[in-house]
Amino acid sequence: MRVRFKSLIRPAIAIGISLAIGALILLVAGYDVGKAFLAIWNASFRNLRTITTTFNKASPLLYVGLAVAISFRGNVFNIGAEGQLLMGAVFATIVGLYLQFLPGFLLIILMLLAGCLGGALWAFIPGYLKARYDVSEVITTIMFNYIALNFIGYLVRGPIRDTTQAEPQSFAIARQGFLPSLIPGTPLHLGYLLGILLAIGLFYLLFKTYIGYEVRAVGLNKNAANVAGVNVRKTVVGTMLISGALAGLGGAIELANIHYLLEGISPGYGFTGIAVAILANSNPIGVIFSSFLFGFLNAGATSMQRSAGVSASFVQIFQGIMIIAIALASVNKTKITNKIKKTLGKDKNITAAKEVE
Amino acid sequence: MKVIELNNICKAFGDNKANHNVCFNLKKGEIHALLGENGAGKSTLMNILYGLYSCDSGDIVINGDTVEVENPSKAIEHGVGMVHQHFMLVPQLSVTQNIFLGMKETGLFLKMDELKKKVAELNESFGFNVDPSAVIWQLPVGVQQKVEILKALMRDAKILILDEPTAVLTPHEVKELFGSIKKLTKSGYSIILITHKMEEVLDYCDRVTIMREGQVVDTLLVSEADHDILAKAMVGRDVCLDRIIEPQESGEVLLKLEGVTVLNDKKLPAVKNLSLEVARGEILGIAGVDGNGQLELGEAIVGLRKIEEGTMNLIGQNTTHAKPRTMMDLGMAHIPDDRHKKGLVLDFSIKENLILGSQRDEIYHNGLLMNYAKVKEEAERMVEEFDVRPRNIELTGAMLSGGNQQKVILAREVSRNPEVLIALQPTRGLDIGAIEFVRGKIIEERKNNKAVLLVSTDLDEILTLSDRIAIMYKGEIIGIVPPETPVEEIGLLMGGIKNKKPKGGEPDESQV
Amino acid sequence: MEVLQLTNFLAAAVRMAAPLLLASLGLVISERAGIINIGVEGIMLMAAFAGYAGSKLAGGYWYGLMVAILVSIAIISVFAITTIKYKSQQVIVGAALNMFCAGLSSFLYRLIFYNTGRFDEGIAAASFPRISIPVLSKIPILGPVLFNHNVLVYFSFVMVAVLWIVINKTSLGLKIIAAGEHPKAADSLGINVLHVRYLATIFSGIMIGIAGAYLSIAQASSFGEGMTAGRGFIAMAVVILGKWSPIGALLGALFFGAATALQLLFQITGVEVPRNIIMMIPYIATVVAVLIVSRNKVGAPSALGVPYEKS
Repeated sequence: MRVRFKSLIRPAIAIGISLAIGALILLVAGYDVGKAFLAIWNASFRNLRTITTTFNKASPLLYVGLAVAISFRGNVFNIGAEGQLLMGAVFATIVGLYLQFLPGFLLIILMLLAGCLGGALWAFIPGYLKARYDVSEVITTIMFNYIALNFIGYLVRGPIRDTTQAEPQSFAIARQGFLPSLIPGTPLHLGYLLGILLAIGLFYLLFKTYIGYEVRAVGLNKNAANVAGVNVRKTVVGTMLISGALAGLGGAIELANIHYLLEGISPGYGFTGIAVAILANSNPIGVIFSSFLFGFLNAGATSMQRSAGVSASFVQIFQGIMIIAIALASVNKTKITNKIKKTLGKDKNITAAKEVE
Repeated sequence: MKVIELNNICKAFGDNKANHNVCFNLKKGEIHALLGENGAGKSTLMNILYGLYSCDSGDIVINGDTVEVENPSKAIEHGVGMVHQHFMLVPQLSVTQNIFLGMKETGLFLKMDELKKKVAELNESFGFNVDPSAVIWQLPVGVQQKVEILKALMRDAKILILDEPTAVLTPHEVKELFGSIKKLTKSGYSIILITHKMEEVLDYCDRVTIMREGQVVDTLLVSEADHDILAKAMVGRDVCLDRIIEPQESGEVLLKLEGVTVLNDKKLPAVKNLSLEVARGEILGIAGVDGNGQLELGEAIVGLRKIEEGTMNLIGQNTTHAKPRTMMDLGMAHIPDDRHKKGLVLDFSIKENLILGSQRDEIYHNGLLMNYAKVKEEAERMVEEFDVRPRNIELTGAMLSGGNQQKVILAREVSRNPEVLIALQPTRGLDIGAIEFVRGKIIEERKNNKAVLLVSTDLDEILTLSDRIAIMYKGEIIGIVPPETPVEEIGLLMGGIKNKKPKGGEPDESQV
Repeated sequence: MEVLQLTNFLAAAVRMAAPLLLASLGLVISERAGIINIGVEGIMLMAAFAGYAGSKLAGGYWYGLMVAILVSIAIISVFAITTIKYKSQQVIVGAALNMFCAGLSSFLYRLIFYNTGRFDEGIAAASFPRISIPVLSKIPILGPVLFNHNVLVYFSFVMVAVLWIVINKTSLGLKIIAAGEHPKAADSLGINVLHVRYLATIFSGIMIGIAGAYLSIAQASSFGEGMTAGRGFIAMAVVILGKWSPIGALLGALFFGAATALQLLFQITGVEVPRNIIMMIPYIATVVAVLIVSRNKVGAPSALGVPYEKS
């Protein structure tokens, strides 16, 4: 794992620009910018409890960030991490509700596996349609988000509704299915540690195994990969399966963290996952850090609303600006390559291919 | 009278001087050939004249006025039209729509009937026979080329630049094209013909300017030139077009196709009931004009395109429906026709590109994990052996020149130690050094007793390398001849004319 | 009763189809020019808010419409500049805009209509009234289904014809098609591909703006956070289903309008199906529709989503 300092410049610039624009918006809207930003900072870094809360908030983002990152590496635009996360939560709920007799560790493991299965299933269909019939995964994954959301709506209003509650939500899962804390008394749970391990594992998968090699080859040039005997369809479906399983696992962990299913279980984690992946340049190790950043923002959002009166949806605005800033910062990729060619061009053999004729 | 004068044109891409102090002029009513090898700078010069590139220094004088040509619109305004090598036609639009695309004279609302009539009139005055209502993608390339010329004429171009116009034409169509061009020059049009074919220059042109490595070597009257003079000027040394392979006995048949039919992307038969055999120790060259099914045939053989009918055998195995992976495992290697799209992952490092397809080989991984130390070792060996420059295997594929990119592909494929090599257009667009290198490696494979199938639209290449030459025409092999066969005869075969005695019922290759 | 139910269902289908049609007509033009914009969802949402705010604060639905269009143009300009000029990935920038617009619309909604106490004045804003077209609206069945709507519905019908003419009968249409099919060819004839793409994208912004305003101040008279609920994405599916033609978009929008109006039909007929299950129908229909169309891949512009770079 080489950390290249240069690779950090681009995200740093993007964060800077989005902070500036965000501050400007708050200023125009008549808020106390200093107070708002201080509230965000304090929400995370006041004490052990707030810091662990931030890790807790970063946990689902870590999983969806990894999910989106691997899909981007395979050039699959999985905009459906949201729906896959939701289906993971649904599957985990069902295990947690109906297999109450199982001992704790077994129930948790089964819930997490069910979450993987739910997410993978939800990603498999768009993946298969793309691989087999060349149906744009962008449209289908987005539609699957809405279908999953309505499916949860149906479940928590109908079959598994806890009627003792005013708001529609499911019964709580079995107690032994609750996720254990890493540091007792704090919200930092086992799922976060598992996420870090998975990030490292995914890094190895992508960059150190032939499976990852094939995923990246298909992502960068699927024609060349196909010519070289890589099964492109299988790789695309496989990429989606891994991506969906990661998002579904994130959903299951979130469910085991809050203990019952409700429509608002994800405030758009899947979409934030896109920002997380892009900020990390789809590098799993980078995702650990970028997901923490967005967890930090999410944790700060509520406290900003409380103490500075700024609506929590401000964070979404910020995310949007950040993605565009990064997209713009990476624009000059081709120009940079050309520049490299130019500097290397002293060796007569390196000239851009298109410049030959 | 000189209608165009280009004075001291310079243009560099990075450190590559594509044009250096180039001077060129065109007289009214002449056909002036711009002759040179790939990469000699001819297209760059003409793209400058047409406003697609801007020059670093030098003047453009059109009809006596020094002008700035910032974009193609300006060129058109000055009466310069260009027919590009890759046609600039929108396939989904009709002939008339393509001709009037972007012309201000039409106004906002198109009066299609009037426009079609104009096209028909223009058709008539130059003896073209193009249906104004036909949709482009349904037309044969020869007709599409006429549409390109009509486009320029409709814009009142008096000076036409034709960029390698004969590359996609049959000999018959070539004759027709030059017939039309002669007609144009008689009506006062002037023509610049970009080409690397000396025969075209000698047969049809009035003057010729020869370019080499971005500079003009000479401008002479065609009546004072001959084959040797042109060849020497173009290449900078005496060229020998002699065969460079030693006679050799061929062994058992490794690749065998019987009655194979393959469809193209439009789901029309591109290869029809075709049979062929390639044996150990021989190079079978497939000649033919571009678009006669060679590409589809090649793709079918390596497993990229479905074989609808017939059978294929590779080293005794039935591989009719085999996938590329299976073909590779059985000992087939493949140099694809398009380096950028099919050959390389441009954003992968050279090292990664060199193992594309071999990533699952035993030597490159322990269990799931890749053995990148071994990959590096092998890559360094290959880069050395195949003279890939620079030797830095961490550079991405995109940073290499075309020749070195092709060497990477060649290294990768040949290092697999295949029994059968399928080479599709292996030297297209390469500089002379790289061409010689690639051809040398192909010959080496033959010497090592491998079977080689070479598909090329470059007849010289086929003639120099092949043991046997199969000529493809409209999806069929119309004849298999030894390389000693007179070029004229092969040329006729490429145009679909067989031994001067047409087969019963087979229509002439007249336009659809 | 049977006839009345059918009439109500069909009229509802047309009402539900109108915003999809408006947005998808815009997208037909921008996609024909080679631009794919999944930000349509967010921009439509922002326009819905802007339409509501304009109508409420300025006191008139025409103001609302103007504000919606201007806001939509402003946001889509960001998309256009980043993707056309700087050649960023269109899907990424679109996704970013969706996030940005979802956040901004709810941020501003709360800022302006929650905090200032205006909320007490009632949330309704002036909205486009229904205009019955004389004579035509009296035709049985057809009258109430087609000729008893607000002016934006009629506008959407008119635009189908207008855009059909633009694409098929004008030189501008040829330029748009060329920019999306073979930008290099267009460039070689002196057509400024980037300008054509800007123009097409800005035009789509206008149409998306009108579609957004339709949701808040024609179909309803209020704004709700996330009220587009995927309609922008469905409009993209309508374009695919309609094979990139205005008339196809009309048919596709009516199909999805009907799928959405099914909800109403179920309510009227008293069939007991959970609301959430019914609400899935348009989304499932979208997936099925794009699958069916993909089997017969004619019509997608060749250079869709591919930035144009002069060599």
